[in-house]
Parts: sequence; structure tokens; C-alpha cells
Amino acid sequence: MTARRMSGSGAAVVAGWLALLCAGCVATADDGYGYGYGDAPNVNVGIGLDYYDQYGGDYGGWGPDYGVGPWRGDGPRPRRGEPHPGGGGRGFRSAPASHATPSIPSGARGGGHGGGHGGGHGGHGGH
Amino acid sequence: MNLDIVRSRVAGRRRAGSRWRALWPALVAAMAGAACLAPAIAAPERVPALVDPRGQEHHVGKVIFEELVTPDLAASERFYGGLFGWRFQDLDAGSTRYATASLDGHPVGGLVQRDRRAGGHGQPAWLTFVAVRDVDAARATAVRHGATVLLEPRDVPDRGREAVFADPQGAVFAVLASSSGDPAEVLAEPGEWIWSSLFTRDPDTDAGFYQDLLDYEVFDLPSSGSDKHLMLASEDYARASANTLPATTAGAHAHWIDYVRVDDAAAMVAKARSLGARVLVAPRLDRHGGHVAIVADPQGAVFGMLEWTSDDDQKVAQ
Repeated sequence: MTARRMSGSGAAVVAGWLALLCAGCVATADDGYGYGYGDAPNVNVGIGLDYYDQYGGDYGGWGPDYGVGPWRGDGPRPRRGEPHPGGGGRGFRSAPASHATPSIPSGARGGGHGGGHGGGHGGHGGH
Repeated sequence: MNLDIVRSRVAGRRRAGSRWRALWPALVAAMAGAACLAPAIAAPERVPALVDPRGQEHHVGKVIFEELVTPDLAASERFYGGLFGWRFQDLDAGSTRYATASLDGHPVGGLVQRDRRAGGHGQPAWLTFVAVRDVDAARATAVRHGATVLLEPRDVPDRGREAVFADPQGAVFAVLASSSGDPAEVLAEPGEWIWSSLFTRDPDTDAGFYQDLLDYEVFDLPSSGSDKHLMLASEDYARASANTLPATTAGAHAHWIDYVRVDDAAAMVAKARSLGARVLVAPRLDRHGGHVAIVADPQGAVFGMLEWTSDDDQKVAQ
């Protein structure tokens, strides 16, 4: 009788561990990760986006005046185009003429703020 | 059977029973402890904070993170490790394979492995993350000004809150409200991301979109042809440029490109090629000086390399 109760207890232990293993398997499932853009839920938590571009790259045709990089302080600061206050088909409000074209930060890591300021007030706020 | 033997066996069974009874609470406790511990062990490892130790700086409009989606994480690690000396830490994220990349202990990005979509149209890419303070407010503004939400705002433990949009011209970008603050305003070291460019058919309209979203100052720099070259700035720092897609690239769509700082673009492009990269734009002198190049890594993800020397640093500092 006692031995039978032992067997029952042992079975309960085994069953408990099996249940625990199942719970572990559920916990390791990839729940909440890797949502594609097409089926993104409203809110999810996780790491690693699922982003593949639609386009493989078509480059070239950059003329001699084509520029992509920042101004780097060589010579006078670049002259700006005509200010565009917005409207009339223009999509942006041009920076005030009093603001010089800025460059990127120039200070080394650990050395505090570096240069690169344009000498005017930058935009603050936003989101 | 001898009575003594029977008694001895019964006593033995009783001793065994009492041993089980004594063991049972310990087993229950062990199971309860394991049950609590198992999810923690099984839970995906968290991505590291963007700034460690946690900082208080916030720089809205600054590009603060890049993430690569690749079909072959190991191959990507070999390439970027070989080219820039990045080191990688693979994270256990369930069935997602994710690695953080760092250079001299400083984080430079994340890499995630994803299978290509059926049909083979997926193009591995680097995704640009711009700093915001409030992702949900950014979402509302972006949508109001014509963006498409590709990934709704979501929390990333220890990282912050993020969302992914396509701007009105179709360029895909992400916003991130870092819970550990934004990286300091310092010059990128060689091998780190230094600059970002937007290529679009309509830079004016797109610049207006990002201005509304991120409160950028927009500097319209003169150019000789019809190609626009707009500088997007915040906090008196240049953050990115918006450029006209050349007319010859008829099949191109609007997109962002991020640039890694290099000391010698030609040498680094040659090295990239030896590691399996494809050169899309050979090193060329940029209008403001320094050479710039565009390459695609062996999996096809496009990125730029921008020369920035110590001389440039001194000039800018002046």
C-alpha cells in the first residue's frame, strides 16, 4: 500500500516535471518577434525588425556637383539658396538667413561637446 | 517467511516512505523555483541599452542607431568584422538570430537574420533610426503628413520604443525613443556611422515632411543643376542631407543611406570588394570635400563610406 502511494507520488513528480518542461517549451517559443511589415499588430514587444527593402539599388548618374556629405569647414561656409518660407509648392521652411550652415559634431568621445555648430539657433523640440 | 525478515522489510519500506515524505516538500519547492526560473532562462536575451551607462541627453533628429536585416547573419558578421573590425555578440532571441555590433566597446548597430520573403524580392538593408522623444506622437505627425506606418510603435526592453514608417516618397526609416538617452554629440570614429543621406525624387517635399516630424532646420544649398542638396539640421548640427535621385536612376525609389566614417575611401572600397562587396558608386570627391563611396555588402545591403580625416575635424572645430 505504502509502495503504491510512493508510486503515485513519483508519478506526480514526473508529471510535474513534464508540465514544467512543456511550460519551458512555450516560453522559448518565438512569441512576439519578427513581425513583418505587412502583418504588424498594433503593439508588440520584441527585438529585431523584419525589414527587407523592395529595391536592390540603382546608383550612378552623380554629376560633378552632386554632393551628399556634410559641409566640412573648408573655405567659407556654403552660400545658401534663396530662402523658401514654405507654401507655393515648397515643402519646407528654409532656415533663417542668419543661421550659418552647420556641420557634424567634431569633438572626440569623452571630450564633451565639439564644434560644428552653425552659429545660430537650431531647431529644438519635435517629437 | 521469517517474521523478523518481514518486520525488517516493513521497517525498510517505512523508512523509504518517510524519506519520500521528507523529500516531497523539497521537490515541490524545487519545482516551484524552477517554474519561476524557467521563463527567465527561456526568455530572449535583451538588447543592450543604446547608452551605457544610462544618460540624460536627448537629440531629436539625430540618427542614433542602424539595424541590418540579413538572410545570413554569420556571413554579415564576417564581412563587417573584416572590413571595419566590428565585434559581435550573438543574442538568444528565441528563433530570431540577433547580434549586436560594437567597435572598441561602443555599439554601432544591430544585425538580425530573417529569411528572404517568398518570391525573392526582399533586399537586405540597413534601417536608419532617428531619435524622437515620443514615438506615438511622432506616429501621429508622420501619418498626418503622409507617411505610412510599417511597424506600429512597440517597446523594446532596455532599448526604448520604436516604430517604422515610409515617408511620403516611400523612403523607409525608423524612429526610436531611447530609454537610456541618446548618444553624445561626438565625432564618429573610423568604422562608426557618421552620416546619413536621403535620396528622393522630391527633396523639397520630403524635407518638409521631416521638418514637420523632427523640427529640422533645412538649409537649401545651391547646386548647379536641377539636383537639390538640402541639409537637415537640429541643435546646430547637420544630421543628414536630402538629395535628388539622379534622373538616370529611373527604377530607383526613395531611400536612406547611412555612411561609415573611413580614413581612406579608396582603400576601404578595395577591402570591401575583396570581402565580397559590390561597388555601386566608386570613390568620388564630394562637393564639400572628402571622398564618398556606396557599396552593397555580399548579401546586398547598401551602405556608404565617407572619408573624414583629422584635418576635417580641425576645420569644422574652427
